[in-house]
Amino acid sequence: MLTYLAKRLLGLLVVLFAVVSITFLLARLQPGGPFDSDKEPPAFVKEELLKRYDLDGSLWSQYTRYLGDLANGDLRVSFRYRNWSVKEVIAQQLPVSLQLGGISFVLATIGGVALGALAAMRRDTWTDRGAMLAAVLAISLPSFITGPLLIGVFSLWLGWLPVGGWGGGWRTVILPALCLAAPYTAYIARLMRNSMLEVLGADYIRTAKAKGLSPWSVGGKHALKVALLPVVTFLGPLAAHLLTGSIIVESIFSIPGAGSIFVNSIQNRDGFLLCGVVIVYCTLLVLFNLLVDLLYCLLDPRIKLQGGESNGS
Amino acid sequence: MWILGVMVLAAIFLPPFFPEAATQPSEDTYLPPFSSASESGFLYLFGTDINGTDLLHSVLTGARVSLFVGLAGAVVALFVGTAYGTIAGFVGGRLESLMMRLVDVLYSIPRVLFIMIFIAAFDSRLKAMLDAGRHWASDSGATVIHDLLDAAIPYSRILILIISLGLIEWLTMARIVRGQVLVLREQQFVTASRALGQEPRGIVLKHILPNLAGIILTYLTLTIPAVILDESFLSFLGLGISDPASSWGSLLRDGAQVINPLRSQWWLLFFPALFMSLALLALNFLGDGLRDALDTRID
Repeated sequence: MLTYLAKRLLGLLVVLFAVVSITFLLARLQPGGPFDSDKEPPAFVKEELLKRYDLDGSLWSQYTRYLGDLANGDLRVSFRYRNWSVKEVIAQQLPVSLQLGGISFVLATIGGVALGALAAMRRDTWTDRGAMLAAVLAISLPSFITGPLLIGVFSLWLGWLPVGGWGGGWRTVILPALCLAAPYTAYIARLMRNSMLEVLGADYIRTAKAKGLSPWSVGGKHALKVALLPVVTFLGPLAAHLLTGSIIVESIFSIPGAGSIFVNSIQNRDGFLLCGVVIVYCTLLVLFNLLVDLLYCLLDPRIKLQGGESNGS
Repeated sequence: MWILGVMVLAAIFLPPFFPEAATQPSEDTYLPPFSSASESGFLYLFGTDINGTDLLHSVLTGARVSLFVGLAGAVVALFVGTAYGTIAGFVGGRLESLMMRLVDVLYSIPRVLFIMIFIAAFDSRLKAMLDAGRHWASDSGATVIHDLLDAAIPYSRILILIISLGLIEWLTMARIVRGQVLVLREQQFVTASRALGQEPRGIVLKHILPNLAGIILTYLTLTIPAVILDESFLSFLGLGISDPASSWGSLLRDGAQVINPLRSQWWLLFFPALFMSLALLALNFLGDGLRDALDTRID
């Protein structure tokens, strides 16, 4: 167990290292430096600026110095928001994204499992067909179609919920969370239905039924637990999808989250901020994947953790 | 299915038939659907946008861009994924586990983020490269190449989108192909062909690839909507197709920007969304249907 953890953490470091290197290189390769503006500053000013942000010298030496700073936990300062460190910018906006993502995550998981299990237990009824049709629709429609649609219906037409923004309590959260969670709820529901159907056909379920247990007890107690496994493997990728998906949702509902930092830092050529966001995102994801793997073997004792090789990562 | 066919045909053949007045900026801004132009009396079926151009025309040209990027990106993904999967599956051993491990890692990081950075970094570089190539061609008298590159420059953004989107959507293809190759490799006809002295390259080209065709085609139809989605994702954020060209994603972006409670220009959002949804649904149904028909076992 411990060796497994150590190996995975080492792998995490390798992935992060690769991510940092690629991001740094791409950010530096962006045409036009971070200090380009309409007026071309004199050469010595430019030199001084580059020195101040530690961007003088060859690309290689810039890179190694940046890595050194990172190792000390320093994400450096933003080019754009002068006097703000990357850490401060992220610390201010990330919690919003995490809240939105967390709510959507819970919504998608619980909603998807419930819908899928229900559809499987009422197989080939209208409940089943209706749920699966809704699932196909929800998977095919991206959030930038469903989002404005939801706004149009619930905010402009019915006037029940606010159009956008954040921090106004639960009313501001509903639409974005729904919009973000919808496709993944549908995906999980489909996954759950398939695996539930497979489990419901197993021998021990027939035994449970033969004992005279009620259908709900059979479904809820015996089948659900086993049928959950494929869903658990999807939780890792789900987190990644929610993360990228939230960029769009944040822009539709004008939510001040980390997604907007990301997009802005690309457009503003704010290299260190960009690297910082990417590092935070990737660390979160890789850690989450590790957690999911551990959860997986907790749920299914038959699965042994072997160093390096694992499911779902 | 029908919907998709009609849409493709309309997107390819209809735009040239629009009168000049409808496609140029005019005074008739934000006209609702089914209203006619103030000067020529042309009927705006879908209404007009901020510049007073016909929305139906924009949606159809947007369909050209979106569908083309989707198809071309999926083809790129197909080549990369098939090559990767075939090599991994056929060679086997250490190389295979290393290659598939890489796929696992790529699966777990948000690839779209990297593509956004990638596009930002290389867009103007590609343009400069094409431009340099054009100058070189005109200097050395190669008019064909010159004309080709000259025509390609306005589309460099689309080109880089296709390449980069193809480069992120190949992972699923690689996994599926590898799995299939692993099965095929042990089949008797492959063993027989090996026993007859066929070289590995010949086995792959003559026996393995033809047998992969069905599954590749299926996943091609499933990759197209994925690429279309990615493209519109980027365009919606303003990082994909840029003016004056438009795709469904950038039309949606324009539509979403004018949404407000006072004056609703709902058609700007509704029609691009409708077209895109129909196309995505049709492609997904087609892909799912093909998969169910070809693959007896449910994965």
